[in-house]
Amino acid sequence: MRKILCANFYRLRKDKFFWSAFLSLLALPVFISFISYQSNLGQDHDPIYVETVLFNLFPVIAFVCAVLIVLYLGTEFDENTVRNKLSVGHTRKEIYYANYLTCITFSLSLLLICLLSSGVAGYIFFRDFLLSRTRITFLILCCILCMMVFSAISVWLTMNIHRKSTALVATLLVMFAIMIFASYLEGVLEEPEMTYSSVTVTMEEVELGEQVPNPSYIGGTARTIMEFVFDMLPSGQAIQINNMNFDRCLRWPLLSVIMLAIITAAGYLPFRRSDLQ
Amino acid sequence: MEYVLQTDNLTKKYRNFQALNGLSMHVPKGAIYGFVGKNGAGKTTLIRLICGLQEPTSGEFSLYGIKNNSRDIVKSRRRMGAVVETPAIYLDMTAEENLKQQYLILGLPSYDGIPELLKLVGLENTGKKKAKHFSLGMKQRLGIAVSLAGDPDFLVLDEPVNGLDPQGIVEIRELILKLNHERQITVLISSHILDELSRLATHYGIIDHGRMVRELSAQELDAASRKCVCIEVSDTAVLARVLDSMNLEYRIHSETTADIFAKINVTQLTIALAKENCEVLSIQENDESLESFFISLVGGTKQ
Repeated sequence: MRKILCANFYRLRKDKFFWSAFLSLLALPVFISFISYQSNLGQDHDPIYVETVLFNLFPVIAFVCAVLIVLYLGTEFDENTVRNKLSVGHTRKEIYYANYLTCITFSLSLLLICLLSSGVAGYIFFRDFLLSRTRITFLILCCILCMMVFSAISVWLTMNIHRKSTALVATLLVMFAIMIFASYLEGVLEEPEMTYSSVTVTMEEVELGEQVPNPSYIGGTARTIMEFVFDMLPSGQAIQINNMNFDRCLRWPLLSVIMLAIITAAGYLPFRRSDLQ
Repeated sequence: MEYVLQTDNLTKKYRNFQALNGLSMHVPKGAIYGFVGKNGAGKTTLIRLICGLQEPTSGEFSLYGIKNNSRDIVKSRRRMGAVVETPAIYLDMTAEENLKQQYLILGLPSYDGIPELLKLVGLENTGKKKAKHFSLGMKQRLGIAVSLAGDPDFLVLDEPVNGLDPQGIVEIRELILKLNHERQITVLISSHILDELSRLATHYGIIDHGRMVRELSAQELDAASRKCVCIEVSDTAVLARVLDSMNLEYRIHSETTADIFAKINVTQLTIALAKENCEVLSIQENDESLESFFISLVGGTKQ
């Protein structure tokens, strides 16, 4: 596997998409921080914390990495170079896991450079931290594990579809589907338990009626299951990280590891048996 | 005889299509083995199986005596290089970078052999030109160079001259002969360009509908083929009389041309015809061996 990893990293070093994304993710947080700082100057907005800048781009990085992984790995199938590995005696297991490790390194380097750039830019422009250092470190760990799950999804689809364009469409569809599903869950879970029977808005005041149970609120076992699914999905974690909602973050690492194991097995098992051209 | 590749009753089925149907073949060490068959006969399927791209449905094969279901098959694959259908190269890399990539895959300690390999396939002057800007022949030669990176003893080439111009065909042919003669590399070439194959192969395997129809050496093919002499004379009626008296098989095409299916003594025939006042205008030996032999085995019409 070491040999394939060396070869993969050699190709990664020459990958122009990777370097373009690397430079973009280095510059983008600085630009966004600067714009936020300018628009906040002298106005009475809510304060912006370093963490807001730090985790703001996380869902974007996840999407960018998913697409770049398909472009990088898909080349092996479009240009049939995966044959060069198999026909000289490397096993499918070595190929799958070496590709997976390469893609994880690929996406984590983009994530870390973006976090670093965001952290430095956030600190220069806003200075104030909302969370403790330990908490921030833990959340960065959560981001890393969540990114590994996103990468695993891309690797799974690309290694089993065997055609770059189809794999790209499939990956985007899956990414959008899990993002939309997580947004739906977020909307449902954010419904308050109680609501007002009526709200009257006049020129002078807002008049609220009596408090009644919210029919859209989901409680009990159903809520527990929905929260579990929301936390298990990498898109769910990404949305919560982006919204700075860390209520249930302690279980995120474990759930990410479980997802990672499931997706990797789901990707490797069909690849082991598949017919390559 | 020592065999590099042997298959035994090899079968591959894709849903409702039987690509290989109990194929048994034997590739002797040091041979240039021409694997002949129509499109869809199962040539590429066999190559995919031996390269590990696909698994057989049933049956087995052995590479250097190691069976495909053994864990050690990966070791024998390290002694093998292959170009399956299209050359497997990174189009966004130069020839040298493609070879470096393959050297890393093989875990070779240095890149020292790359210039020699590029020279061997005639790509030493490509510099920083990316493979996507190469001609088809150059891509094919780079594919062969990549397959040679591990210094293999056995080279598998699937339709190596498909789509090449005449110059490209000659270059690939010379390269294959050079590899076989100078480096003693056993070569398995699949092709349906029979004329080209007959200039290279020392052994043939003829496949049809996923089955091996016949395996034979070039000498056996030569012996099995009918020799044909095309002759142009002033009067084929006289020629027919003379050939009948000599007890030779022939076919008259027109009043002046005919084919004789035998090895003839030209002097004797010319004297016999001269005695009957028949002139010999031209005479030509046709070696239609492989093509005719193939058609006689698998049927179809000669183009």
